[in-house]
Amino acid sequence: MDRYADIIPDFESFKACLLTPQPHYIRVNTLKVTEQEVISKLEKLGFILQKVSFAKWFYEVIDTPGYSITHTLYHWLGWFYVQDIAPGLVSPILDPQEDELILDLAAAPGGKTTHIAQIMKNTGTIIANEPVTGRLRSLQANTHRMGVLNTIITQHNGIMFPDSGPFDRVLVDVPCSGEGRARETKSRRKGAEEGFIESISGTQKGLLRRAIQLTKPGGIIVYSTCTFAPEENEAVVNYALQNEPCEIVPIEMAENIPHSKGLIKWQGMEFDESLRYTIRIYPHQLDSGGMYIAKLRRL
Amino acid sequence: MSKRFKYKGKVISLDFSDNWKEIVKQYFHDRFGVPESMWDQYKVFNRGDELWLASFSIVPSDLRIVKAGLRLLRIKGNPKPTTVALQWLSPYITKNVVNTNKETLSKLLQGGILHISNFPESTTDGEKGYVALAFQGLIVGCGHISSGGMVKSQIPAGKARELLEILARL
Repeated sequence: MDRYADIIPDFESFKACLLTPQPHYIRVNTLKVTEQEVISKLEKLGFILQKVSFAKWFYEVIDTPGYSITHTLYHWLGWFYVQDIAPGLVSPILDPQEDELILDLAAAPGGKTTHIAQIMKNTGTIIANEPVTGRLRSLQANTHRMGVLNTIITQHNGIMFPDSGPFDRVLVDVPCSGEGRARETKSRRKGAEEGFIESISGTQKGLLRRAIQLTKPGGIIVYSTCTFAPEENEAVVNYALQNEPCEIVPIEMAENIPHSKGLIKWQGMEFDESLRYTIRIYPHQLDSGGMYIAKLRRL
Repeated sequence: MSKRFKYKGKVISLDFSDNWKEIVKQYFHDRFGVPESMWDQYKVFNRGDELWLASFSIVPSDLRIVKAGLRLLRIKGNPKPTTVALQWLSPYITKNVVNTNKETLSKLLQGGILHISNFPESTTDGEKGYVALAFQGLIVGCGHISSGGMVKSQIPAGKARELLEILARL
């Protein structure tokens, strides 16, 4: 991770934070139940939960009765989804509206898909695509468990996704080096191999370009990763700005959500000035995993 | 209305005709007391021997569809509701509910068969057919009562194992 010392603010706190356990959050599934009902049932079991002020339906799990919140009847029934707060910001930034046609280009295991369905109140249509057969199972299980009815699961290589829109909004949460999950997985703490970053960035560019092509003019695309590598983040979005008809839409974050701005240069590379309006979420700022999010408009 | 798709060389047809919705409305009303009006905002489609529930408004063509919506009812022979459908309908189900406790539900999930007299306060007259198994006032899945009044779980094996692990912690 040392190669990020110049771009991550308060780098020593960042490194120290990676060694600490990541808090757990749940998103109450209002497609099935009310917030009050879930929280009351979980508190009776001995879980202590605290509402997250800036993220609708999210609660931090402050304490447990000695077992995981995923081992409860209410999780089994789909009353909530365990989702970190950083990826929990992505679907609200996409801002799907009721009755729209949405594409989630790389959807498994379904955290963001089910979040989008909840925001849309099970209306409209979500195409949740996942190319990897082994990951389809978790996507199907989670959409079923959460009572999602407005979603069609498809299996296509995202880069070659058929012309089937145009879509009102497209989420492209790409496969990435996953450095933002370093608090969950010890092996990720040293950072990703640069060779891997280079190879995966080609896939990411292809996916983002296809996402833009599938969006209707004026429609919205959200690009996200859970990594810190600028080659997978700003460099990919910069490439799309140069090659597809699109522009950056500034992400408006509430003041109480700690985050950093996107980079406009990195190791000799210069990016479009508008990339400063994309956002980086660092673990030591939000006490979460790491995330990069860019919002674009198709021209 | 019927839409056809190709997946792995096979043509898949999603048949959204109103007849399927009527079957669903009538079955869940007659057997479980679910109000007929609650289906108004949803679509029901047929795939093979099954009826599925969905709310999506558009089905784009040329897509390899793996799955869409929620499986409601098997219609080959006597209609059989799915566990996931009964869970989803939980707030609306008023009859043919078999109320279990930790002990009786655990036995059923392990493949046990128990007489209906083991389930006091159940809202069924013991008539043969499918029932909703409830635990702590919540529908957890599908069960079946035989003509002799014997109750058996119909919850899929994988889901039953998960639920058994949860019960063991209570």
